[in-house]
Amino acid sequence: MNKNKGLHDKSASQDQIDIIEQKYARLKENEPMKILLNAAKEYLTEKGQEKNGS
Amino acid sequence: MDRKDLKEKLLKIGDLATLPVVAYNVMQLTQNPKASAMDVGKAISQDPALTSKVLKIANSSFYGFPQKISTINNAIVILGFSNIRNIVISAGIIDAYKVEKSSAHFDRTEFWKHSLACGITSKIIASTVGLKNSEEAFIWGILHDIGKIVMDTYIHEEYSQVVQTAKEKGMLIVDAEQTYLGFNHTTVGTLVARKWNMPPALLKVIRYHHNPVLDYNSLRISSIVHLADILCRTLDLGSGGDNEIPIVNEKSWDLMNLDKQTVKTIFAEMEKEYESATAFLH
Repeated sequence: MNKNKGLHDKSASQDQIDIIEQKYARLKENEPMKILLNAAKEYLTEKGQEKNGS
Repeated sequence: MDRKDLKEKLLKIGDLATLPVVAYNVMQLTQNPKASAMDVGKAISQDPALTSKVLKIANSSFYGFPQKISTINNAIVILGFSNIRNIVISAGIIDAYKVEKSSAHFDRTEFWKHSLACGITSKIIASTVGLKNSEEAFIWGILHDIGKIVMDTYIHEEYSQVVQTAKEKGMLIVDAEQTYLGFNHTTVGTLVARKWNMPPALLKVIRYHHNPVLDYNSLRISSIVHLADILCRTLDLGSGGDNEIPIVNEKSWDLMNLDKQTVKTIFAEMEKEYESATAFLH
């Protein structure tokens, strides 16, 4: 992941969500991991939307 | 070099790894109930470079104090004993194991960013779950992986190979260390932390952050850093040497009792504090 890309635009957030999903997909799933993954996806999506004023 | 040689080398690490004298003295003083703020101030002032760094951090936006803090004694009064101890020990160790010595595989800048993010996140989680003296958790997070940087310093070539292998094979670095060296950073970290006379809670965190259920007496402390590590890896804040995410221990998770909304709030606080904490690294 390009860490210099920043976390604040919508596409950067979507890139980051994709990478997180790939990493989590490699793990044995348990309930806490599902909660963490969903929290991360929602957090990054909302942040991207906020930044874009939508 | 075979495993037996490496284990001998591991034992030597205990002799070689040093903590800066001032950081060591401050650690001793802050564990001594008879020591005063003035004693701590005097100890810090023995090292002008560290004094300057402590004041720079104390004046950074991370602590957000509106007026300029110009002396160490002033900093102790304003930020408190615990915060100053955290700053001195973190700054002293980061300086002793500098980022300039990065290898192609183990990036020390990313390592310290990850450690700093873990410190911040441990403090936030500790506060969220209502732990008393949650500032303590900051130093737990910053130093939980100290064994990695010690190995990178004293068995540099072997450790570079381990890091490279972990990345190539998509392994957690702790698993790669154990597989290829026969020991891991939790063992090495515990060894040096004991030598440096670090507080018992910090020793436990260093030893058990990958397997908190083994910490029978203080599961909550190890669980805080265990979870902080996973949250930092999820948001990709720095890197501890691999690109993977460990699985959350369910017993630790239950103990923390966090829901999705609370985790989202923690993520937001992490990023906000992380952006203001760079003074620790420069």
